[in-house]
Amino acid sequence: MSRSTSVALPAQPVAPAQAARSSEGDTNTTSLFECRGIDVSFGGLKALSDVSVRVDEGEIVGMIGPNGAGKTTLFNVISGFLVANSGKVLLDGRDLTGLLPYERARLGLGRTFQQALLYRDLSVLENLLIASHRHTRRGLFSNGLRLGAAAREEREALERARATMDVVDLTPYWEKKAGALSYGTLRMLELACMLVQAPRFVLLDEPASGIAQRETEALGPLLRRIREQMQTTILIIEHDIPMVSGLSDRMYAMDLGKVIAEGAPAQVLAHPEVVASYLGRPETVGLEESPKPARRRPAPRRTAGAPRGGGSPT
Amino acid sequence: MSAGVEALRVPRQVSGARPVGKLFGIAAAAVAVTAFAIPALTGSYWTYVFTYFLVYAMIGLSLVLLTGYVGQISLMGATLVGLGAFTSAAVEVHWGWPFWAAALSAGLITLPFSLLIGFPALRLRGLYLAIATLAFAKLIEELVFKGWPWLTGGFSGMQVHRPHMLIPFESDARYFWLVLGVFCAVLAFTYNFSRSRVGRAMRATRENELAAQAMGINIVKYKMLAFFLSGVVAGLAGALQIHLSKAGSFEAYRFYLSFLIFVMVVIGGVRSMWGALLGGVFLILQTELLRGVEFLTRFTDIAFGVGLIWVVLSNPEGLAGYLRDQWAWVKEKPRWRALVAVAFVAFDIGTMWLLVHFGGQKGAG
Repeated sequence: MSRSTSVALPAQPVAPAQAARSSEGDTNTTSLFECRGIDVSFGGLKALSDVSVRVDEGEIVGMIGPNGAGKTTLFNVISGFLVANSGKVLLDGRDLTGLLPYERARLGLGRTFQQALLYRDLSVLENLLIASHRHTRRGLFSNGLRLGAAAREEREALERARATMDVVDLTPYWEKKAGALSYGTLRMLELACMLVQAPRFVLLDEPASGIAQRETEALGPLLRRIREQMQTTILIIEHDIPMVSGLSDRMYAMDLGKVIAEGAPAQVLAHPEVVASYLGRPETVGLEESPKPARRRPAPRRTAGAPRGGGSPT
Repeated sequence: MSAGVEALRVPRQVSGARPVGKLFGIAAAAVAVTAFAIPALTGSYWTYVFTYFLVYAMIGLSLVLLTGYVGQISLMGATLVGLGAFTSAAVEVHWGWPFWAAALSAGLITLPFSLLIGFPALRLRGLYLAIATLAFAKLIEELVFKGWPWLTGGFSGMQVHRPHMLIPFESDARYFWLVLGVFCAVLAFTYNFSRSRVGRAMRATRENELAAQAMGINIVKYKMLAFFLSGVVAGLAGALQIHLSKAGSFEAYRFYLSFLIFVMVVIGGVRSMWGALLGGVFLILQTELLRGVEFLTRFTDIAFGVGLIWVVLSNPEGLAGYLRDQWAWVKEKPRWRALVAVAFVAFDIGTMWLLVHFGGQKGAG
């Protein structure tokens, strides 16, 4: 991997309190993130039934399962874009269940989207500056009059963006519009935005989809570095089984809206139900690009009756 | 590669950290020159026209704040301008308020109306929102403008005097200074906040609501903020406008004007605050140039049509985007720069000359 490892990631305003990772094998590791008994149905269709997931401080947890298993639906529930029929979402012991997506993001929950949702008409630099939003506070008047505090905040945001661009080698593209980048670079920008945002806990939805093999190989070490240096805990959906199993401390496997297996990667991959649901059809693994029906929630209104993929790729 | 050595270093002045001091000096000098040159070199009529341009640029700015920054299309611009104009006139005429208080109230009166249209607008986008704002504009026109003579003076309209604050602003030149001052303040404020997290949060909301929320941006807050800001600027422009022409009736703020403003800003470039200025330039140039010759008068609407088609077909970011692209091209060829600068100044002077000699009513001179 050609990415520079000598460069330290930019200093981030991470809450120092829980920054120290508890050592491996510690019996009372705090559960940083937890969701319990999530139920979602679209009309009469059960998309998620009684899904519970737990991620400890500092862990990278993988989530696998065939298309339509409900992984992205679960992410939408966790990040607040979809309201579950029942169940709770906890981050750091705090109940997020009733909060709006942006409030959850402020509390340190980050997420990426399957199709690398960024601001395509804005420059790379501006994308990164937007990612700083949660670390800045000044309002309209302070910024409109460019008072000292606002100017300082701007300089810090710019410094963060600049340092992050250096780390992920995006500096040559800083002026380019995000929409003009190659897909692999766009995904890199997405991760860079995550770095700037520096969430306590981040949901990555298929970060390796659509990018070249070489870039996929670079992704694993990069994610590890993000964890080491940012003290970020990661829950990752990925279809690239070798990558995700090599990366994860633990894994969950889902099928038909349920968690069917949980544990160490090897254990999960060997689980008979997982093999039956997913790995039993190797010709489809990793080739599935069929877009899933949109289940996100642009407005608080529930989108009802979106047809599910039926568990099998079309 | 180590730390991206071969990479271009991001220039210091990018986005947030422009060398404001230098820029401020240039801007202040330009404004000062304009302030004295316009009344001194041209007559009272052209000073009036230039003031008119500033008012329209400000109205355009109110639309840029809403449509350009958060992507909400509004066809009620003229209504908000009218509300501001009539409010400032009414509180002066009926209650004897001073100009500054009247102008302030003109800005603030738009807030409840922004709230009224803003909340339903959170669920509407694009064409649907445009239609909703149009309906709202028509509603205010019928109920408030036509139905409340106290505010609008009915068919005969309202008459006001130019303000007197410490010094009289009665003459066209003095009033031009006042408008120029307010305009520059609004422009500077917009320039500053649009390059800060607030402006970026607005653009993020326009570009991608999902991603914006996932990054902790309260899209409802920023949309409402844009509605409020847009309304305040429009109301303020209204107050300046009615004091410029010293009279106004609701006929002047029909929804036809909203379309005109909208097209003007789209031609100028809706996504940039410079677009509002360029749109104002376009409006003034074409009306004043074409007005001079009887035969050409009928082409004013056609000029707008042609401009709009040009934008839709080849330059979605309007004149502002076009000039920016051209400038980027010129920047790569330093030798061209001087030539372009000279051509630009020649064009400026030429247009001015054309305007003064052939355009509009003959300049006083």
